[in-house]
Amino acid sequence: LGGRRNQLHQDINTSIADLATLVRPTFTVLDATRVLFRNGPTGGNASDVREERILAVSVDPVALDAYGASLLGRQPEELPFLVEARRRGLGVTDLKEAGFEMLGVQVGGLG
Amino acid sequence: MRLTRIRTASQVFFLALFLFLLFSAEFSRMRGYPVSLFLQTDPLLAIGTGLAARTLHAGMILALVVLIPTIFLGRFYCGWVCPLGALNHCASWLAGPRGRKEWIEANRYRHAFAVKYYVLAVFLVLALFGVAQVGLLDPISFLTRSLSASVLPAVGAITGGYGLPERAFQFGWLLGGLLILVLLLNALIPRFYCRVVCPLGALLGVLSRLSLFCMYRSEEKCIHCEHCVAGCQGACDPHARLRKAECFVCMYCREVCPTQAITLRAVPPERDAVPAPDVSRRRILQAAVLAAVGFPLLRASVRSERLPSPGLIRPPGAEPEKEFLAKCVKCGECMKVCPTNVIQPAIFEADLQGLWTPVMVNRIGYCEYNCVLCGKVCPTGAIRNFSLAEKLGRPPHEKPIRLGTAFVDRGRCLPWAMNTPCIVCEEMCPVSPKAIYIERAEVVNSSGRRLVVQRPVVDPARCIGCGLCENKCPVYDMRAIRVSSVGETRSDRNVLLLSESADRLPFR
Repeated sequence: LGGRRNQLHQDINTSIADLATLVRPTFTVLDATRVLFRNGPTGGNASDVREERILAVSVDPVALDAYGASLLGRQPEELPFLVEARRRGLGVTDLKEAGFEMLGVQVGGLG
Repeated sequence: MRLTRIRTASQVFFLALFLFLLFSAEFSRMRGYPVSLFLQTDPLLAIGTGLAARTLHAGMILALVVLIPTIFLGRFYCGWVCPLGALNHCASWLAGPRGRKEWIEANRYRHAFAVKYYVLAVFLVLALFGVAQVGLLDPISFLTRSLSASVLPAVGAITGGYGLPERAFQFGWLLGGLLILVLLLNALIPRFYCRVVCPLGALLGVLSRLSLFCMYRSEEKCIHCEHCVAGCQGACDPHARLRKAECFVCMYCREVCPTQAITLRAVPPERDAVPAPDVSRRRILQAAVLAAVGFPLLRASVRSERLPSPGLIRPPGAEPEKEFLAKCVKCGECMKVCPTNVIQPAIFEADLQGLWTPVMVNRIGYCEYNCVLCGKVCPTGAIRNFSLAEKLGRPPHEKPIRLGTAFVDRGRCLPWAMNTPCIVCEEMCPVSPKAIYIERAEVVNSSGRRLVVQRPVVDPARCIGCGLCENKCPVYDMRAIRVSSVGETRSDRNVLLLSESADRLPFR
């Protein structure tokens, strides 16, 4: 998706849900080794980054995004695109209810 | 020995080197190449900017290298080195007449050849007044600019790449058109530009008076066949009294002479050669007066260094406008190297004296946050060789280099004017903390629905004027956030904030 992506912001939640409807991955990887908290996505410097050292994978992209939101201290209900994705049946947002559990976490030191 | 073969090889070599260095002026290919080598070894640019700025940029010391062969061989540079000279040589060969007799007539000396000395006089007088305009007609600057801002983008556009990223320049057709015109003029007079116009050729012509060697024709051996004139590059009358200031030392006469009457010798007595250019003092004085009269006209015009223009945003590291205009030779090297195409040749932005100087047009590109390439390639220091730490205001530097300030146009901005969500400018802002912050407002849209919009507000103390917000703004024709030059670091006049003014007070 190239071109005038900047226009997507005029209805960002529907746009993200549309993307998730169009592209249906079987396996999704969330790289949270370093998480940018402020001044993103273009700006930001090292002091805006927290090292989480987490690499999460899931067969449910919506559930994984809900988990990613939790790393940023956000509840899925605060994020309309997650609510919309759940409404469309693209995945779940309540990790416990869906029976998700952390499998292995320990990752070697960052290179 | 076929010296003309060696000369042709030399011309091909230097043209290829010139093109290679220009091609290398690109962020993925720069490595350590001295991409501005030809500009920095140009004695006319050294003298022109040195006189105008009253200082000589360290890099331009290299210009002395070109003066060394001049001491021995006069306008050797024109015949053996100059890349524009090589192109004109080739174009003359293609566009010139057929037959030896026609060539001999085409290569007669003409009084029009003196024009270049008057051009030089005008430029030098203007430089004395502090206005560097030599770059307009200097052959290296001319060729670099035409190729960078017109020919190479055109080649890239029709071939779809080959290492030439997509580029477009305002009035680029004019720059390419002038190069085509210069090449076409060779059909009128062979090597028209070199013989009639070129101020660098004129400078070397004046200096050639001091040269130790020149072509010498033995009157005893000469049979007056004039074959030597047919392929003469400078049209310097090798068959009669040699005009030293016009001779390119192309070696054609020496080679073609059936009686070996012409040789390269230590300076012969004056009866054998005309040592000085064929110019009248009266005309030189007229040219100087013309420049001296033209100068106040330039000064009386609205000038960017007195009244900063909102659209005149200079690249980072640019000197204050007065010094900038005294140093910039309009070569376009910064435009070639800029990875986002934001640096454009000024047309109306900086009045006549700033024609083709670099100006940032954020609709086309933006200043890449982590890029310092324009300062690396500038041959004259009009754009300082600034460091990344200096640009971003990292220690030991206290403040970043600011190019201007962004202003939200609340009459066009989607959240401000139309209650439509958009946060693109805030997201794109590359400084940390961001110079654009969000003001949330609950509004009612046209269908009566309540919604919260995020309205962008610029913090002028943090904005560096990079133009990324303007470049990415979805209001596509006239952007709803635009940078103007106010607040630029390089000016002590074009200041926006009281805190910045306080920094610039003389009694600080």
